[in-house]
Amino acid sequence: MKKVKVELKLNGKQFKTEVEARTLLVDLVRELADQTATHIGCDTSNCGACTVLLDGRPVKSCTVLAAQAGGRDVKTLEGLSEDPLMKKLKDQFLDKHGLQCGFCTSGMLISSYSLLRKKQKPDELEIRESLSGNICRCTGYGGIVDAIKSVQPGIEKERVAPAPEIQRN
Amino acid sequence: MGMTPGNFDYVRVSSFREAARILSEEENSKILAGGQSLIPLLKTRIMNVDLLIDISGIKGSGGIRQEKKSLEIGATYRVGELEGNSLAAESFPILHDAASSIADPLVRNMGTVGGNLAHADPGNDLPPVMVALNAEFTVLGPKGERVERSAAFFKGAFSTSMDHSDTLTSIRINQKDGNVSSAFVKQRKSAGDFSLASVASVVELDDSGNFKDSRTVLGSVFPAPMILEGVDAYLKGKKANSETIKKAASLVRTQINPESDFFASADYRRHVSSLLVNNALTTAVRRSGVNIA
Repeated sequence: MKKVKVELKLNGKQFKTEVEARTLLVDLVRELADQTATHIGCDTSNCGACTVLLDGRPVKSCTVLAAQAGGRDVKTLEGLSEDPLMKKLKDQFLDKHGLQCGFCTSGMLISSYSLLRKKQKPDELEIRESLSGNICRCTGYGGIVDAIKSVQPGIEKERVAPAPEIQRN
Repeated sequence: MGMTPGNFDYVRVSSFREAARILSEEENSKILAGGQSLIPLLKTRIMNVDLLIDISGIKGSGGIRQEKKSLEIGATYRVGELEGNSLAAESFPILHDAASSIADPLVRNMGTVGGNLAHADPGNDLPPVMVALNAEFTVLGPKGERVERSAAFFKGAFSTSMDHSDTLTSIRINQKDGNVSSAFVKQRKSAGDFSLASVASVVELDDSGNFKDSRTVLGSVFPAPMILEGVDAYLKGKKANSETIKKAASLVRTQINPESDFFASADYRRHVSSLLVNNALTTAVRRSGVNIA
């Protein structure tokens, strides 16, 4: 089997690697790029712990091949650490008990971040719909929904923060 | 590390012709569009392939073109894009109903319209919708292009009229004249699950508010979408009101013979199918501007 060259933008920086074709995007992100905020939960496309932004849209990186992401833009939670909207979301997750064990949190944050990018003041149904691909076994979702509701829309535009250095093994 | 599929090669093609050529050369090859059904199958090793042919980069394959009387959807148009397309939803509300309820938003952002159809999982939602809309599928095979009617396309579970070397390239939906509307409803146990049953309905009413024509399609109950001919025959010429719809829906209980399995009993499926026919017809008729209770 031939290896596949994959070159993509990861958290704002070009990332080049060569992988087996069967390598999953989540394994590229975690194992090759050391960006471990993205988690592997169910590994069967149900739980959403592995959610990343692919060309700005949230997808389950356990169900995307690294090769499919070639030439595209991938953003994980690390790449959004300086983003003002993400900062507000994190504050509200802390304040409203939007997490307990934290395993689902990075996926929850990315899904809710993209919802709030699309709509500043979503109603409860829209929030719950948009989280229907992310499973949380601790909170019962109430705290997460409250946290998203409590984010006050700002006038700031998204500023893409400088990504943390990517270290390769 | 996550669960890893068996080894395979991967190639990105730049045209459907190239995909068709490679498909016919490589026996154990498979088209990859969004991968939202295929990748889980590969990871669980229910399926093994030697070569994946990624068609998502083909220029124009992921587009949509709306004309006055028709809508053409490229095979790799994402379900999430269809969900967000308000122009398409205006002409064909049934498309928005289905696209916004498939799996979950994250899967919809990767999954494609063509993949949902070509994979032909009985639990998929776009097959009954396309049959109700009488859509035309453009298929490219070794002998060239052909057009297939949606009703003849779905043969059974994971089985279509396409063979190994064929690729679905685009879907065309023609807008009928007259007062036409549509709806899609489904039943599932929890968020993200496959449908246990679904109903896609396209209705045409005449000037006096009677059913002129309809196509009611049951999805996910049988291996392939089933046109409920008994329902459509009953509706024809009758007043579009709640009594007519209730009676038509009740016919479903005696006209289908589903099987019991792990997910639902035959009785449950019969019951739910009947309720869904009622709901789909009611919504479609309301959307035509007729006020019914």
